[in-house]
Amino acid sequence: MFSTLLIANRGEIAVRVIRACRELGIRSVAVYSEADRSAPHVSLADVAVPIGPPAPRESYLDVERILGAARSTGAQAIHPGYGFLAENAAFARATTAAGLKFVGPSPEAMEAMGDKLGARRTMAKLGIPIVPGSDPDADPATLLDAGRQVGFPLLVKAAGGGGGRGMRRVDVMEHLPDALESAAREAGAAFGDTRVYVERVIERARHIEVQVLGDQHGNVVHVFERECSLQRRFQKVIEEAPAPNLASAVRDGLLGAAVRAAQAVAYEGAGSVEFLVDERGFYFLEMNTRLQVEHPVTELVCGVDLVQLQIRIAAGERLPFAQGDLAIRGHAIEARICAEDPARGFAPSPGKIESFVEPAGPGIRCDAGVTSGNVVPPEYDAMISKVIAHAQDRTAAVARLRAALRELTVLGVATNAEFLDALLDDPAVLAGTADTQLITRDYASWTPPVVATSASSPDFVAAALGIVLQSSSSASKGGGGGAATVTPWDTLGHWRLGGRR
Amino acid sequence: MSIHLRGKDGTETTIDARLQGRKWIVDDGETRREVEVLEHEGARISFTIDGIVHCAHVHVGAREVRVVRNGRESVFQRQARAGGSSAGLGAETNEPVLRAPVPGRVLKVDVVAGAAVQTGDVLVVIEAMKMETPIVAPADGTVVEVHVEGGALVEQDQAVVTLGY
Repeated sequence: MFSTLLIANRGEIAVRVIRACRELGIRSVAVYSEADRSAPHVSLADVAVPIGPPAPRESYLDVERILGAARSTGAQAIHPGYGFLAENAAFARATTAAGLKFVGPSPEAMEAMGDKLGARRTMAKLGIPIVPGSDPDADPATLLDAGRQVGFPLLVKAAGGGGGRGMRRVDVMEHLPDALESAAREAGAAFGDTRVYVERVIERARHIEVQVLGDQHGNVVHVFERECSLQRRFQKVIEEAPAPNLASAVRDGLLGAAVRAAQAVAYEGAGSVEFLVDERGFYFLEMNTRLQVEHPVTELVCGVDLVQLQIRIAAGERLPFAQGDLAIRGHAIEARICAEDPARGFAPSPGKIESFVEPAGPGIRCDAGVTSGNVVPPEYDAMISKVIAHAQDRTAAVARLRAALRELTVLGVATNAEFLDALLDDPAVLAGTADTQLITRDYASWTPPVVATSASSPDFVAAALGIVLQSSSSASKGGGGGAATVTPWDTLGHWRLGGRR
Repeated sequence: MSIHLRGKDGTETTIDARLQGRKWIVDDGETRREVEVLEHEGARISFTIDGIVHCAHVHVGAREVRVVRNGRESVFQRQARAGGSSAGLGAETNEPVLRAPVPGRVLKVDVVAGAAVQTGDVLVVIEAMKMETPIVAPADGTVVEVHVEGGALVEQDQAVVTLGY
């Protein structure tokens, strides 16, 4: 086993990997940009190394700086998290060349599967249906031709990574040139690769993915599926395991196809095989050769620690279980909390978090990348934390998650928590029949309900008290040795100490 | 002291808060309520209204007060005085100064001073959290001034482009 591991990431996933290291007795090394100096992953790690300015290109995407940090701290392995360099085969290769172990698949497997073109070819060879689409390219003329052939509506997607970055839906040919240009720019900024490709839109489909694990000794298992149909601007917002209302024949087909795909490339580590599912069957979408944001729902229902397993596999250990040992217990559902403002068209809402209080209670897990007093920088992804609920069945898990979302307190930046709570009350969501277009179709112009103001509402009184207490506290601070004025602030101190109850 | 706040629904409410012993007497002109602060730590305030306990997180900004209670956020605008007019809010005239809707980085500037623009033309693109937010011309007009350069950081509501219509 490694003695020191570097985490080439930030936010909640860096925190998650650091915790796994702690449990395994591994010294953890965090890296951070100037914007993240006071972030939780920096204070939680055993060692933290600054790697440059806030812009991702000059820090979290800078291979040389990250490898330099690994060398200077004696790290033997690098965990890439998700996003940034996680699916960058050149980074995996450079890590290996520097004598370090990359926690993830071989660069060859990443190219075969992480590269969308290679993945589609491999799947077609295995007889698994694929969505009609083009090869990735950087040349707009080639892509325009490809778009004409594939037909509309289509999606422009980034070759270098997922997560909705660099993705655009295009309904008519006239809009394709602009979409190609902005998608390439966004993809370049997010993944350092401007190549994009086009793919036909499958209408009314569900997005279901299969978690796979492979070790260095040729063992491959699936850890069942996740339902990820609830997406906004191609970003998953709610994910769950297992997928509801999935015919067992379809499910067996998905699980089997995912295992065959992983075996075909001698896959090492944790990966996810994504499918679109409609009433006619399923299509291979892509394989993510990394840990997924939504991995906790699988961990909760299967009782496995995917991050620890990734590290154990990278260290050469065998999978500690066979396929038959894995089973699903209950239901888990996750909500991604993003710093964005539903009242203003879900515009990004970076800024200082004045208060951050996570929900708690039976079956609640919170994976957060921020804490009270942190600044959410405008340079990075808007997701600040995840709230995950586990219960004996789906209905109970949804109720538990909704209760947790109401307990979550984020003050200072706006979040999508209230939107997610409303979404979890949608009839199609409750019935487990939502498709990937549900949010676009039914919630495009969703805004939080406006509550009537009344002087007697607790919210109004709280706001008034906030003003009163602030002005009295600044008055007492600014008073500076004057007369013994009795301020409410002083009086409050007595109440607290005196204990009224 | 007298406090004037405007809620999201547009209602302006004025209350008078007066400390009487340990309790605040809060009066909106119709009803008097007894409010007692139990605890105040950072942004967290727990208090009673006529004996019923509530807890909220409150952030008092220069222009607005944000309250999060039971996972719901309410935003109140601070008003200089009661009954302050909200002129211009419902007006249909186009603002000459276009402001950044989000804090972020200027990704590109597509226009220069003097350029003629049409409704819907993209003038400037701001990037925040890997999302692109275009600033578009609300009406046909001419660019009077571009206030930002490509690559610059902008605050929310910072002036980006001034248009003449």
